[in-house]
Amino acid sequence: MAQSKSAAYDYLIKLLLIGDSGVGKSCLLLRFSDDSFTPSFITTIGIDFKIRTIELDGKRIKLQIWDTAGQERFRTITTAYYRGAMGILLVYDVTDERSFNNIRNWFSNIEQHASEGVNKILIGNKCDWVEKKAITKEQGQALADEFKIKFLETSAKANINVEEAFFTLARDIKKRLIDTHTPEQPKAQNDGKINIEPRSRFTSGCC
Amino acid sequence: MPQLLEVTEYDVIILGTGFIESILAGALARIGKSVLHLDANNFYGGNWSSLNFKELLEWTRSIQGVDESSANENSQERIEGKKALMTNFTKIRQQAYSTIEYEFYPIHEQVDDVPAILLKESKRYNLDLAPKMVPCRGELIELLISSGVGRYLEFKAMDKTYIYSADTFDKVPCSKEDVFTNQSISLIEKRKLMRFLTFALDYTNSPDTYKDYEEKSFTTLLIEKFKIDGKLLLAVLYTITLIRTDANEINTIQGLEKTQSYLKSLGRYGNAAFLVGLYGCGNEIAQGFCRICAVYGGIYMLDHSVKHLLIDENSNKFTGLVDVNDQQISSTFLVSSIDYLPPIFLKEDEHWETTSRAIVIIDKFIHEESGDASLTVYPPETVKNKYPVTVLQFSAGTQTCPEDRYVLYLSTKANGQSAKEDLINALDKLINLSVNKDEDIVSDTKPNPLFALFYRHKKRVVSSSEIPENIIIASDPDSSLDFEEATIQARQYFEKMCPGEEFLPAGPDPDDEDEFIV
Repeated sequence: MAQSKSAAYDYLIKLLLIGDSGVGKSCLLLRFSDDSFTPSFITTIGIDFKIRTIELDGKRIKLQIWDTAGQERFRTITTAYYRGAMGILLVYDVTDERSFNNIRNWFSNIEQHASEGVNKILIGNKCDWVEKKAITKEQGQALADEFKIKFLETSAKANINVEEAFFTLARDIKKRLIDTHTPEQPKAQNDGKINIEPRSRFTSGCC
Repeated sequence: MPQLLEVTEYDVIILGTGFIESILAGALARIGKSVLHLDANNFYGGNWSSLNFKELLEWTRSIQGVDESSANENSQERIEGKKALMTNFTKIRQQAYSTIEYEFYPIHEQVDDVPAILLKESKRYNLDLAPKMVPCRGELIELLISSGVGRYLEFKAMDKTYIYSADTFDKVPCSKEDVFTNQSISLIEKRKLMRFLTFALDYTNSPDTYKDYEEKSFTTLLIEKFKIDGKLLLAVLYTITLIRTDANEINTIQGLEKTQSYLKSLGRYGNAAFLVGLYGCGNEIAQGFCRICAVYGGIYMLDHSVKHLLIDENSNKFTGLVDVNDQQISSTFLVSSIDYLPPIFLKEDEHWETTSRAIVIIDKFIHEESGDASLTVYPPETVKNKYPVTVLQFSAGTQTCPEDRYVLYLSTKANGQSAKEDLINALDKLINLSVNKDEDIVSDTKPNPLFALFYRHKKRVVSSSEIPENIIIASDPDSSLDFEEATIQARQYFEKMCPGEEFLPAGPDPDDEDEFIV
């Protein structure tokens, strides 16, 4: 059901996608936000972030999901990208061993720049491409266990587990940030911050 | 093995991720130009950056370091028929800074422990090399809003200003509300001030009030026409107009323009004329514009230096460069921060605008109730200073330092022999400088320093006629406390490069798309 532009929501959650170039971060984002898939090898131009509002336990949660804008290619992701992120999808390509090995680097990058306690989920994308699979589900699960985070294999192309990936992360964040707070707490945390935008975009954010 | 670029031809190559270069990067990519944006540093922001404590120490050592390269900087090689001019980033950057010195101070622990303590909390610092504020109305804020870059940033109000005179710090009334509630000025003075502020907000509509003073100094107008004198005069002159020179050097119109833009900034975001950026100002804003560039296809490489700029001798045009991986990359335009220019283009000039700066980490706030960010101004001759000294104080609430730490940024127009000499007297009024290695006296009332870095910062001007016309040179940070001139400069460069094109129009707004409820 399509809502109007000013669709009301109870909480705003900022999510990030992280991982090597070509693992399908933008494809996962577009599948989840627009239910579309473009099998293109060209780096996506013009995607800043995407919005999708979901419902969890009767609360409307607006997910604002940020793409890397190609700045992962030479590891030049801005420190500003990580500001205020509540959840991160760490994505590798199950057909590309190098992208799996690089997850460790991305993980330490997150430790360095993202806020403490940020929720994370490990995603092995392109799981529909069975004949080219280089990383087994067990390897993915073992890495996730080591980082003590959740794990899913997905396919943006075949629309496998994409919803589950975002919903699982959103649910964990809701548990950590929203359910443990009294209702009035989130707004008080604004702490004198000023958003210069004419519209009050972030004012109902949860922290 | 170095990662090479697949594409080696661009519309524009940009060297340096400072404020002006980053605005241009965003603006050029936004209208469809292909942009390659490089920085020799492993961080964004160049000479406008905000660094954590460890990075600040490394930066200091790099600036102080001796250039060990034996290359003859005037050597001219030839590469594929082009004149190849060698660059020397480290050495040229050193030219922008002088009289650098830093010190650690003992605080409860031994002084030897202090560096380790600060390094341990290093990540929590975002220390600005050229700290600035954002007027609530002005060039930059309008650009941040119209371009959408503002949505990447967070700000806090700079709503407390103090002035030092006659050995005391007084809170300056900034807004109408402040004027009425301020207790340090008399009722008569309040009326005078209100009369002046009301006039200045709309001064062009009352030309009779100031026309006899147009040729005179702003000070004369305030004294003769509005009978403002003493502390109040100093407050208007130095905390509202925020001039960096002696007030006698500004005329009535300049003073009124500055007062008016100050007054117009009030009320938009609460009771403050200025905002300060969270996580440091220069770096975050630059990164925001870089993200716009990346979103529109710009390619980024940090920690990536340049060996040669290639110039076609017949046309005297820049044609491309050779990077650290010996890759030859070409472009129609080059936008460059001064640090990347070949040394032969730069002649040291004693007239370069020079600012003495200090970054000081302390353990308590300097004024009670000063909030997350405050400004303190010393008018000339109050602490043996020829020019006004400004002090910005930031607390943990601005995400520039940990809890229980405060950061002071001092600056003044250079005058004496060193940055330290220019600023130490002002600093001494605020914090307990008697702490030193011999007598370990930590004050319980006055803030104690942990670390102080002093340096001079020059705004270099490149005037060589040999510079190819398709090289656009982005300036160093200026001495002002805002980004207004720099924003105007970025816009002007863009208009020169792309006449008739729109400067950073808003992109599609993801929030405007229909939202689906599951």
